Amino acid sequence: MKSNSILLQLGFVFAGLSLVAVGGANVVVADMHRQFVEVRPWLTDREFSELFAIAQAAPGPNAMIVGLIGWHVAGWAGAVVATLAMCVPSGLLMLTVGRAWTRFHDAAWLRAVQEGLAPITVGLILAAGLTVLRATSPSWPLVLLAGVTVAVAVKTRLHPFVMLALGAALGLACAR
Amino acid sequence: METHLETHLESNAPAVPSRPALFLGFLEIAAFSFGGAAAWARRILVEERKWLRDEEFTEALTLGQVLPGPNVINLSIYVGDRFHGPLGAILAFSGLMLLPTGLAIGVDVVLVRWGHMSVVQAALAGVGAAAAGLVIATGLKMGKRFRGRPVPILFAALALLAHAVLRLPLPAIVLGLGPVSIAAAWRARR
Repeated sequence: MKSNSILLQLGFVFAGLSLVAVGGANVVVADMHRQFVEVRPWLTDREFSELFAIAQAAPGPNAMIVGLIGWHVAGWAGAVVATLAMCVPSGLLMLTVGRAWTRFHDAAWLRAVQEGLAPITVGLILAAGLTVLRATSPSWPLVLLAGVTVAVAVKTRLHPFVMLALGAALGLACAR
Repeated sequence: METHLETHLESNAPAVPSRPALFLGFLEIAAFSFGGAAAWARRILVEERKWLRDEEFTEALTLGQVLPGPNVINLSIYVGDRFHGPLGAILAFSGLMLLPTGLAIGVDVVLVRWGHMSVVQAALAGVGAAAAGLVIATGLKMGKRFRGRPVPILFAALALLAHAVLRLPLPAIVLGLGPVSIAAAWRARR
């Protein structure tokens, strides 16, 4: 595979996703799996889920996952291209609109846009979680762990790192 | 008269960051933001450094969420631009992304070196499962406010099915369902 072609594809895919990533970076996770595991065999399921795990465990914005995939596929250039492609188109839009609306009014049409997009964001984020779970090819104990994690994260304020550490421990225990 | 009083009461008047401070402020946000950059962004921008008033922050974050793209990154670009134009936006963005990206890449380098070991794979599979659970939980928490409202729940379910089951591309889902859901929300307001 020519590296220029890889960088171009990274750039195009993420630039395209940037302008439809309504609600944040998590909504593109399922499509990243589709684009880089299914459509192009650049990553295996395992690699994809491992990169996601690293991005979740490390501090920083969720959008990091994009740069990490870029890195894994094409080194420094890939990381830069992927990150900028993901962040600049939407960022420019934000900059432009932000300048035009120095005081952001509670306009009725804006509320409608917000209310309309919110459930779609929710569906896409749920899809992201399910996609990552599938990609780990989980054994039943790990599926159960995912379920417990959901319950704990929804009901309690336990630090997420605890669940990730438990996940690591359970993963190791199941391997023996 | 009330406006004068309000102005005086706002002794919490926002401070204006210097360029280096802009970079460092967002660096600080990234260093602590574990899976939830928005909360730390608020803490540092509003409470600690007082660059924004609470309402300003909320408005900016909301705008970042309504517009496409990563939320806190959109926020950093807006805040940076507001104080120091495009250069400010670049400073804020770099401050936010540099450390986490570098750290994540560092971990991946280690992973590439040792990732073939089955222990590493087993542990990471576990972390991945837990991480997936965290994301699902985020979605559910966001969806809580739709409880008892069939229309948003329907759109969430459609988006989920279309993307996770039918594997339709993201742009198709957003551009297909988005306008319909927005129209429904608009009608619901009346």
